[in-house]
Amino acid sequence: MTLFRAEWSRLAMYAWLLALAHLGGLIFLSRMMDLGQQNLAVHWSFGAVYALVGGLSGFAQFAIYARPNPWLSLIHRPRSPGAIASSLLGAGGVVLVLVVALPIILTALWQETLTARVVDTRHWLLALAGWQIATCAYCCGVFAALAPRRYAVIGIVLLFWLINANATGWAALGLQALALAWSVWMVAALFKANRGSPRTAGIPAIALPLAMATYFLALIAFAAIELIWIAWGTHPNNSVPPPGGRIEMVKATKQERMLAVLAASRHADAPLLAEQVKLSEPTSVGSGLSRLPQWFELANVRPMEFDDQRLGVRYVFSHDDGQLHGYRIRDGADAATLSLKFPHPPLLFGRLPGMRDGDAVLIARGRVYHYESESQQVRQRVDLGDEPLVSLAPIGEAYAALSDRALYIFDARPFVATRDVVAPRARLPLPGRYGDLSNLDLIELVDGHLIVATFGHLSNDANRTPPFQTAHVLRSDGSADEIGRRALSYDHVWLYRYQAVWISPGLHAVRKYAKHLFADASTLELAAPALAPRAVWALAIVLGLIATLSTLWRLRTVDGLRRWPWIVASGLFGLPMLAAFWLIELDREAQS
Amino acid sequence: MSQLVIETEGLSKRFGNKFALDDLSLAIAPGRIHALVGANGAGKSTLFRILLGFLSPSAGTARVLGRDCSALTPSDRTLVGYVNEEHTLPEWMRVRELKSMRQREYKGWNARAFDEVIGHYQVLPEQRVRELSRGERAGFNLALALAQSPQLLILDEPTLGLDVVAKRAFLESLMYSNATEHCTVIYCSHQMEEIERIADDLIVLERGRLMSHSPPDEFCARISHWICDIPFMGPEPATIPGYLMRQKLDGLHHYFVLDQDAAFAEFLRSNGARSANCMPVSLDRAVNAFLAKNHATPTHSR
Repeated sequence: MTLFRAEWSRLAMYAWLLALAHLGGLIFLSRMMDLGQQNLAVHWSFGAVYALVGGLSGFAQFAIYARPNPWLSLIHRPRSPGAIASSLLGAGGVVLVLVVALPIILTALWQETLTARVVDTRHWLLALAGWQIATCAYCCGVFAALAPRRYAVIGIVLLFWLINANATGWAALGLQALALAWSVWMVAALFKANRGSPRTAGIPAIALPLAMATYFLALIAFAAIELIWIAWGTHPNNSVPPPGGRIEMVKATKQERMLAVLAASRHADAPLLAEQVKLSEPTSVGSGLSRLPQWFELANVRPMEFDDQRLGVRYVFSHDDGQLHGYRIRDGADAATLSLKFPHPPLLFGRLPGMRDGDAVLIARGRVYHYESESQQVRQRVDLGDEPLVSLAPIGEAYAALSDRALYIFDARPFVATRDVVAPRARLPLPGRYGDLSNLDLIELVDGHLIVATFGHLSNDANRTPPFQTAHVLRSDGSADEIGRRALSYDHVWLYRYQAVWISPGLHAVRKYAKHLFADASTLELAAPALAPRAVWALAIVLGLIATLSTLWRLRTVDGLRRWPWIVASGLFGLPMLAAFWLIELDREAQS
Repeated sequence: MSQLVIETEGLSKRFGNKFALDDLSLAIAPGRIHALVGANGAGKSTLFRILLGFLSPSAGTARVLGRDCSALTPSDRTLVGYVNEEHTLPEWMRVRELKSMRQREYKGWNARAFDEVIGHYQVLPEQRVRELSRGERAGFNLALALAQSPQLLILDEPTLGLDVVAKRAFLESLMYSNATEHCTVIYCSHQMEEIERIADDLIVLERGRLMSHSPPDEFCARISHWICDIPFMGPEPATIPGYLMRQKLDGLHHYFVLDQDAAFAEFLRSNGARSANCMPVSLDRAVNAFLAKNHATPTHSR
């Protein structure tokens, strides 16, 4: 406690100044916008600033102690290194409560009590999320100050994990807590008299992020090669793409995509349909959404609000009660709360033709709702259960609705003429996974639609399907025929496509696991990955063996307790773990 | 339990291809003030860092107060005081706060020892550490170290950068403190007049090796300074028994030699000396000559 108080007295002034600056910034921004309704990019920006403040604070606080004499003076006292670390890190943690969490809580309190804006439980939890991100970065900064330079910056891997992870809401808080605990473990591994040799129990805490950082460096090296390739002017993305490949189809017009699959078809109707495509103006269906809003998520996929311009009212969705709460745009005064309780958080999809001024369409997973400005009521118009819809667009006399599993065709007339729930006229199951879908093009036929789907989204990624195209005719009576199917070729060799796998299959698996940890499976990201070619596995095994044998040879004189974990880890994670081994054990080896 | 305060056996520390400590076997008995001298890079600080567990040895063993240096516990650390040349203290704290913090940390806090030492300086309790002069800071640091009642106190060049007055105040506060009676002091310095004044025992390190370990008087007695008048060139150093260093001043040859008696005069005369006189050697010159023997010199000189 004495050391904690001493450290706090060192940091207090700095903490209060930063806290005031943060509070001032939040007050200013709250005057400009409703911070609680900003999208993920804005939340990321805040998170990045908190991480930067945390990281720099940790580094600055401990850079002074990290020099030999101050370190000796700090540790050489009648307290265990763990107790010393707890005092100093505790003081840093309290500083970040003051700097990051308190201003968020005060701003939320102001918004809750003095404005009509929606402040949900999730908004209060942003204070905890901000603190956890800042404190995790703080520990990474501490680690950077204390660790040997050759691996001082590996804490950044934990921060990238937080950005890339899919977890939302409480799960995101759990993930942040885990990353924070890991960063504390990393610091604890080095917080001892002799910092050149991490604690044995702490080596996994350093080795895994270090191996992951080395793995990312290898991937970045491939990206750099690709940049040179682009600059050279022969990369398929920036020159004439190889014929019959995925990039050619992505770059093609809607008409060219439809004609390409029909040209490859032997179906009797294909030539006639091709003629119709040439005479028509194809439409594309798609939303670009990769995830749907989740209950109690801390950020928003899109702002959870829409404006009724006719009444001058902005409706904001509350995750706490599932209702839309209105306030007047002009003066911010409280307006009506709509009575409907949504079963899922809704997204605004604009207006459809024929709707009146002020009306809006909202989609909550498989349910489409129509907000009527005149009656200030929300009516359900489509019910597809839990099959999430990602798009609803007019195509001629019909509406096309795309879910993660199928394309639905609705008659347009009942949408405008009635207030009932409208049933789809026809359904075409997607001939692949939504996560692989790159384009869905269609034209109206006399008795239905011709639908061409191109699957090849990110197909240079090892986790995606081999690219292909299909053509279907979906008739008004609901029947469907496949007219053609065409495999597209890859534009890159397997060595490039599976770089993330063969460099280290183990770390590739860890990366995937970490990304989805605690997260609900997003069906929008589901893909059908192809089995990797045998050559990929052969190369991965050879590299794994090289790593294992190198470690075995290097540690041939070391006792089993220190030797076997490294050998097993090198076998599992390959060359990146071998690099981690060299970087961590450099001092320990020299000292033994 | 070992009776020795510090005990190393075959202790080596290698940084890359360079040995900071090379097969060092050292045994220091309890009590008294032991001076540790050596040129820069002799391995003194490396030795202290190993003794306090902040570096691992490349080979050999090191024990402090009978404990393995790589496994010192917090209670072991209570018994070892350490003062470095920077006098590293938390700059932002007030003297009063820092004293109170240390008092709470060390159960055997000796307030009398603190007051004895701090009495030599004009340090006010409400002053911040950063406001203290270098001498005051050194004195305050020494007071804190002695008040923790250590069994072993390591002082690593504590007077470096101090002016004459501050240096004298520091030495007096160390010498006249009753607290030093109950502890062993390891005093590392390049200031031979300080060592001459306070040390009971002299340890000379060179290139990580123990070159001498004896009381300062005995060390000085081993080194003799001969002044002789040789009309021509003197004898080649390689042929001079116990050769350490030579100088030519005012036409006279000065030879510093190790472990030579009166027979050395005969050697000089046999090499053309018309006169040869042996002079007493101060500790400063003795150590200087001793360390000059193996000083690196350019292979080719113009």
